[in-house]
Amino acid sequence: MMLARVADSLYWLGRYMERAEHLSRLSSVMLNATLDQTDAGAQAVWIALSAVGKAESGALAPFEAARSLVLDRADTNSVVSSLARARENARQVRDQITTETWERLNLLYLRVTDENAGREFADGSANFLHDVISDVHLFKGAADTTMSHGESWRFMMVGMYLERAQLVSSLLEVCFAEGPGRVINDHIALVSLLRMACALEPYLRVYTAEIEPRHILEFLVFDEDFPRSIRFVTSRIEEHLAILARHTEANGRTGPERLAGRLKARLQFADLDELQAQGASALLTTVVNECSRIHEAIYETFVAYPLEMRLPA
Amino acid sequence: MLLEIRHITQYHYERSVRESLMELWMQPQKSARQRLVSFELEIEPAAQVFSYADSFGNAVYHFDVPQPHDGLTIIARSAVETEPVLEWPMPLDMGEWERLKSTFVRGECFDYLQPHGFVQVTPALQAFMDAHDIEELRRRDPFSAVQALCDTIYKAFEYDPGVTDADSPIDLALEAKRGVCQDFAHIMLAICRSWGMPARYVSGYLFTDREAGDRSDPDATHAWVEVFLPSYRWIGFDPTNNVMTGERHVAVAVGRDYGDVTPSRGVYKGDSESHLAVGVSVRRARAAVAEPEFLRLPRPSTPFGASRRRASADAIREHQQRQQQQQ
Amino acid sequence: MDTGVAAKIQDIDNSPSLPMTGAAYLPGVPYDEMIAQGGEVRGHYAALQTRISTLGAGELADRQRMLERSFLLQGITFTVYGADSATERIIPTDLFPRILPAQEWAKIEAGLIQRLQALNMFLADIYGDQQILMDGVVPRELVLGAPSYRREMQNVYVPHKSYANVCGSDLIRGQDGEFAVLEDNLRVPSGVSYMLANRDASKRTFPGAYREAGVRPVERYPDLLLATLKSMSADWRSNPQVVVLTPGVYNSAYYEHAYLARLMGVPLVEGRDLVVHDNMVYMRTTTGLRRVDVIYRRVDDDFIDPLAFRRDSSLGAAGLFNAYRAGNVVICNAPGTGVADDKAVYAYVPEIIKYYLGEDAILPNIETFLCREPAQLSHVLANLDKLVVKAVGASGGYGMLIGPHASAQERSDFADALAADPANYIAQPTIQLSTAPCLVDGRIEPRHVDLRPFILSGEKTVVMPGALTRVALKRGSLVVNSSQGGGSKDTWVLSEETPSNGAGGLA
Repeated sequence: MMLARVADSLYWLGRYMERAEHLSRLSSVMLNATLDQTDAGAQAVWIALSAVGKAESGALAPFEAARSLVLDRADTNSVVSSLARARENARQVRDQITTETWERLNLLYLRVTDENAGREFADGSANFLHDVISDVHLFKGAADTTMSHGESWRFMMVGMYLERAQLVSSLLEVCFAEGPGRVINDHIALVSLLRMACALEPYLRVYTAEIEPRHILEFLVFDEDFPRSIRFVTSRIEEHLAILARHTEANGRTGPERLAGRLKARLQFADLDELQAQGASALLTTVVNECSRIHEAIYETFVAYPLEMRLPA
Repeated sequence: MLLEIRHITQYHYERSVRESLMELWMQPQKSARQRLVSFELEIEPAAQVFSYADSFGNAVYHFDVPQPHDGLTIIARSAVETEPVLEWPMPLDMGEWERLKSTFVRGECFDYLQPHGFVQVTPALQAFMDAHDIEELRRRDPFSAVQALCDTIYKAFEYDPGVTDADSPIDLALEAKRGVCQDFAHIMLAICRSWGMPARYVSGYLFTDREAGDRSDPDATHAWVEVFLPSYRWIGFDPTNNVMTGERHVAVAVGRDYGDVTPSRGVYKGDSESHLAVGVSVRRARAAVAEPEFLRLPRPSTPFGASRRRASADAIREHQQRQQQQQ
Repeated sequence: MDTGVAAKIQDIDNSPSLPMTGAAYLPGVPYDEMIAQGGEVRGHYAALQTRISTLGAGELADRQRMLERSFLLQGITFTVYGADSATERIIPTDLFPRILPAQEWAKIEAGLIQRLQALNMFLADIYGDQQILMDGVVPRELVLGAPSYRREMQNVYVPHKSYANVCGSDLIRGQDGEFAVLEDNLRVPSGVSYMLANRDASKRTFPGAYREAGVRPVERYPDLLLATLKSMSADWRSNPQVVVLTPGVYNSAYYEHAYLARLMGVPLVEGRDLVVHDNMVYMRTTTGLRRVDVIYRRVDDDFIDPLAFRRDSSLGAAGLFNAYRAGNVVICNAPGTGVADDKAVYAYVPEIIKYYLGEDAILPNIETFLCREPAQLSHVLANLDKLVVKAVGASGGYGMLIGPHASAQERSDFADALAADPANYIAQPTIQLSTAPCLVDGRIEPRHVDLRPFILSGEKTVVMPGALTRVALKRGSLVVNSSQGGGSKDTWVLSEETPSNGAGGLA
């Protein structure tokens, strides 16, 4: 049993933490890639900024772009804003998350909002971002090992995985969708892409150092075991929602668990050949759209349901 | 006199609202001089109705409508048998003023001696009192003083439903020299209380008799004043029609002012304005009870506090959270 | 939280200097909690004093920093609203506990139970037959005219006649060493989370001294609170659903609301989570509506129900009060308790105790002048430079004048306000609050303190053997409110068999 508002906050807590991690990693990879004055560096910058819908800020120096991506409090889609919102949501449900979990988040929040954060970032952005990402991992680890894996935790997980599905899909869309975008084929740029998805080392273990777009696509869409592949992520979403929906009296045909099941099945039966025959866009667009529908269905089922449907007899 | 009353209240919302809660002060009083024969409420959309007695002893009915709805209709039907007044009160001696100062009166009627809500001695009212030599009236005994006050107010104001609305302060009527029953009652209450005479607001219905010189609107609810005189206990004066209350008056609820006994008030959730239409008919029983001739759009009041835009709701909530006093 | 009053700025230089090993501590001029008049350390402070004197300044500073960091990390903060921004701050917390010996505590405990018992009887009376008003013991207009008097509460059934289930009274110790009640807080008193957090911290800072002193535990507060709340629900609800109602995350005491909910293991709800349907209260959960039986509300009366009270409130739940009146839910503390902690009613509490219990008050009041009485008003106006004047309706240290500390201009402005609306003010003599050792900028210095114990009252009445000691951190200041630069420290109540008994003697 849990309050609808609390479920909502935990869900967003998961989303914002995932977003903060992803944005930090994009910034970190982007800054690292620009150390070499090559076209690959420019491509990496373009990928990262396009993936967060800020391709137009490419006019800025990469350092400035990254700094604003990380520390701009006016930008609602920055790391610092995401963490502030994550913390705000956590504060609303402070009674639901363990002290260990809360402390990791609070510490991280205090770090990025510290008055010295800007200087620390300027002095060593790589270290700064490395620490932020590590802290997010510590948060996730604390949540995993100290919170009961019940409803609260599951809502947080659903938020995290839904956010991840959308972020990875957008990243892949930027690189591999047909159309007027850039073609990313530079070896070093592709390595950067894998780093942005936190996938380089797991990828190498499967495909060795042969970095090819079709393998990257296959890995990040279909791999069964890699925690950032879309297939893996949709399986988790389906799994958590199926368990959450068990307790809900009002099961409709549009229940989020059914939508998630449908998406999972879609990915189960698709393969690389289909992906290449029809183009990556179609599938990636489906993933993004279905995620939005699942998001809405979660609201209708668990959070903002019509009262008259749930009145006690 | 056996009277049948039908009081229809219709709320209409521009867009659907939900979770309406509403309280009604509509049931006629049960008292020695009026017998409640029957009372029923019809509510659309249907809802379960609950009741309680408020701190002034009035019967309050309340209900909620959780599902989305764009209208709410309340029909209150009652049948009341009123007693004719066989012996009208007579003037008293000046000692009544002293009796009003007794601890018992001041204790028992504490609430009806204080300014409250609409009942305030404002500078405008003070000016009115000066202009009409109201203080002079206190040279008479309390009963005659109130009677004269009732007459003064009746003559000083014209009845005009177009000037004030349900939440107008008395100053509006004082300035325009016109108003409705509610304004006259509030003005009279403020003066009586300033005299140290307990006085309360009465909401109810009037079986209008034009022949008898009534000027109130027959299709509206009515309001008047009751004052407490130790020799008579509570007696009613109707400054709108310059009469003492009799068998044509049906009392519903008493309070410190209109705000205590609004016939209907409620809150709802939703981003929509509400419009209110009220119709009242008071008929002699056995005469055919007809629907009111028309449902008029009365005072453009919104007794609803919750019709704010949703966009600002968060800001309001934050502000209120801060307003909470820390102890 | 309301203020402590007291007197002249401490003249530290004129304090007697004392032989203390290690840290030199000059006690305050009035009653000092640690050092007796003769200069010797009071017996119940011996263990702690020994420990402090062996710690160097550096070590003390380290521990202070650790303590503050741990508060910040846990999010034990309150929010300060400035002109256009909000900042989170920790309530400054002092390292050194304040210690009370068993026999002193026994008197405080008995006094608080007596007082709350009488105040609950008073509330039951004024919302019932009003016998005390008939008998003229308390002026009728003081009660019925108070804005905190809720007519809606008349004749509402309150289980065990426990109106104030959680009470936090403010006590001060004057120059004579005796405790007196400065104020009763019966509405939504806060600060108990600081009591628990301070205890947690002081156990880590002074584990040895803590063990040696024989301190009574306060950690059971959450389950005692839960038991109190459950005892308020109707008998036929065998396992009542309790919730904590908070105004939300922007409220300055939000941390405490979440903390108590977490430690009681009950949902922390906001008004928008509650729904009233068919006169029952429900909360919206992910799986539908769930019945709510007991609401520990931390929302002011005015805001709990827009249908019954403030129409523009979005913090409460519409219809809540009707459900309460019908006995379908319990609201704790009951609405309308504020009338009993009204600053003007305060003056009558000793008579109220006598009236209902036939006893003299164990804990005295501070002498109080009611400005509504013309004779007392003229006394107040003539002695503004010696008195503390408070607005009846205000709290949190706002709307008050500390005569001895105010400028002539401030006093004359206040005199105008007083003359314009005398019924709104009371005045009290300036009292020298006792001082206790505090770590300030690396030095151990005396600071004025008050004492806020917490009393729970449901089926039974329990005083927690501990308290929040509030500290006026500015040298010489008498204002202990957190909103006015006050801090807090842990309070150790010693058990009877404390080993250090008799060592230095009590003053």
